[in-house]
Amino acid sequence: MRATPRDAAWFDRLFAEHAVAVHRYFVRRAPRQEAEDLAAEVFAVAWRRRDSIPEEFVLPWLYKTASYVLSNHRRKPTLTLLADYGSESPDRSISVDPADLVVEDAEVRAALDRLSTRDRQVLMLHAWEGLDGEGLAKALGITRGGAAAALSRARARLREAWVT
Amino acid sequence: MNHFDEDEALARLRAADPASGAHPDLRKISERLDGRTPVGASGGFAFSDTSDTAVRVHDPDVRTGRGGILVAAAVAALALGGGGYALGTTAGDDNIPTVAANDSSSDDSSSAVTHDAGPALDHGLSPAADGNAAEDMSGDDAMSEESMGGGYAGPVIPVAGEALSTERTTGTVYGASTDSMWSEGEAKDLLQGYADRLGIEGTVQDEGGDFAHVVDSIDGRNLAVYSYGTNSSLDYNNPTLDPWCEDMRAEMENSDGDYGWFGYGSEGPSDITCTELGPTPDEATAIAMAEKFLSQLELDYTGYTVQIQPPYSPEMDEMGGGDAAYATSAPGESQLYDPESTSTEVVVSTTDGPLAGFQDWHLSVTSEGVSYASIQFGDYVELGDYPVISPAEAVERVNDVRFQQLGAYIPTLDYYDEPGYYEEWVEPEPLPPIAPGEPIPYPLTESAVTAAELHTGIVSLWDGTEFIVPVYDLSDGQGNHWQVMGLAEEALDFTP
Repeated sequence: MRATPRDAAWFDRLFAEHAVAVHRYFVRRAPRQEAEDLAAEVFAVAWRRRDSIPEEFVLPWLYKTASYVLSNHRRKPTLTLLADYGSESPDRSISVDPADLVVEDAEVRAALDRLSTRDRQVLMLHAWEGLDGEGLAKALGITRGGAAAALSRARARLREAWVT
Repeated sequence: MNHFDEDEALARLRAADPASGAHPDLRKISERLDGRTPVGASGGFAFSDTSDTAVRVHDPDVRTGRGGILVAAAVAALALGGGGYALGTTAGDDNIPTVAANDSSSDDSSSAVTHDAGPALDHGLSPAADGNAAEDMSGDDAMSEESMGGGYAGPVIPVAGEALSTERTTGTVYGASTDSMWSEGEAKDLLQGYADRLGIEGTVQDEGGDFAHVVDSIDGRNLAVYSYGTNSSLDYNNPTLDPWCEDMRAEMENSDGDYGWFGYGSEGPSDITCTELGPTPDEATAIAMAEKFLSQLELDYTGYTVQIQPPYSPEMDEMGGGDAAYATSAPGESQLYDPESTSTEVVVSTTDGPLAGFQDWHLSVTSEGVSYASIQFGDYVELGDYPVISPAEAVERVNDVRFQQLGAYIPTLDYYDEPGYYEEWVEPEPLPPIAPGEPIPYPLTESAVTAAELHTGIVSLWDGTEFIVPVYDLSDGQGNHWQVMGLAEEALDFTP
């Protein structure tokens, strides 16, 4: 039995609390002008699936949903060509890797380019969305230990891929 | 477990966050949600920061509480009908995010190309002499013909090239096998079966039917199953073989006693014994250990390829700075790439499925056994051959808003080998000022699609249901690509 009913007031609070974070998730990964539309889609899904959102992991759940929404809405930007690194990804939340598009630091972009989709996904959730431990695990849809191992590997590869 | 200060690479990545300071247009988001969700309907947004029901919009860069409240109030004004917009949402249309027919913005967006393209091209591209899109297209600018579509001062609109076929075809569609889909509550039973095979003894925690996990009460080995639409996964982790084992132990020790592997109150041992690991296993050993693990789980990998994952993809060398040795590295060499590595990575890939490589399995194998495994489930079965539009029609579809909101993509396609992929994008010249009464620049560039390849791709629906469908990859030889679903309209059910 949940302490808080998943009603309109709950949804308003959810939206107010997490709108900025979800929006930024897309700013980092999609053409800027699409970020609001994509963020709205995540909240629409959140309302429909409100009963399956874990109470203590709302934001990781939203990020995981965001990754699916991003996959659904993926389109080639017209001004910049981005690669689909899908074949390496162990899961379905394949990012279009707009790091290429939006990361201004050329060295960071080059380092990210060298990583697998999975590594990029883990690193972005950690470094930009600030997830760690259980939150990272929930967003990735894996166990906490698995997330820690994935992050450890991704960080090692990032260090290695670094252009010095 | 943060070590930002010790790790320049991660610190630089954090500093490069492109979303720093970004604030959402809450009005726009709430418009999209109106009618599909009860956003704002609770009265939870207030016009004053003294209201008992005020909800603060959490924005890390808005330092004053009042700022957050006021933003929320703007949302409330919209949601309560005070914003002066008419969305005309239709009940039951929340599955597909269509824009309502009476929404003038949708008319604008769809007609901008179809009706205004002529004038826009006439006027908008007239400053071409100043070095913008039209000149880029002619190749007279610094941009080469082979460069990656940069330098355009506006959208590039694909048009069908003369050589593009108008012939329709057919393509096979695959859907998730109902045999491999879970029914509500099945996660728990499935998980119990896998746990039994691995000898994991603990209480299975069911988190709502589509997610379940279990932790061994002695050694902390844990399993989780997760289902989303037609996709499901099994994740395994043995913390005693994990490079983070000691860190996790320390966390457990320092917690207040209720902290478990899956959060407060979750099951699991309060302490584990970390295993001393030897050198990473060589290729043959790692593959044999991975196969043994899969057999123990009774997972059938017939028709799958089991191989070592090289640390880098071969494409790296195209970029310069890559080391060719890594692309084909033997496991022994792979230790050079990560001297702290304790595991060899094994990838199990489908080779005879409808979309090879789409559902790879990943295993980390240490000298003492598998430390981590991520298994993707979901068999796809043929639904039959469906009609597919012609390449020329596919070009039209790129500009059709109905096919932009529910995307299809080709997960196995990349454009690494295209010349100029890694070139910097060149910003076009700013537009010159205009005199009062002159048309407002709205530069569009038309580009002829010269190649259309039919691939196998994915279309995902809102609930995670996925179909494997024919998807066109259209290209103009200038570095622009458009991916668009190939199924003809008679093969689609538009019912909301």
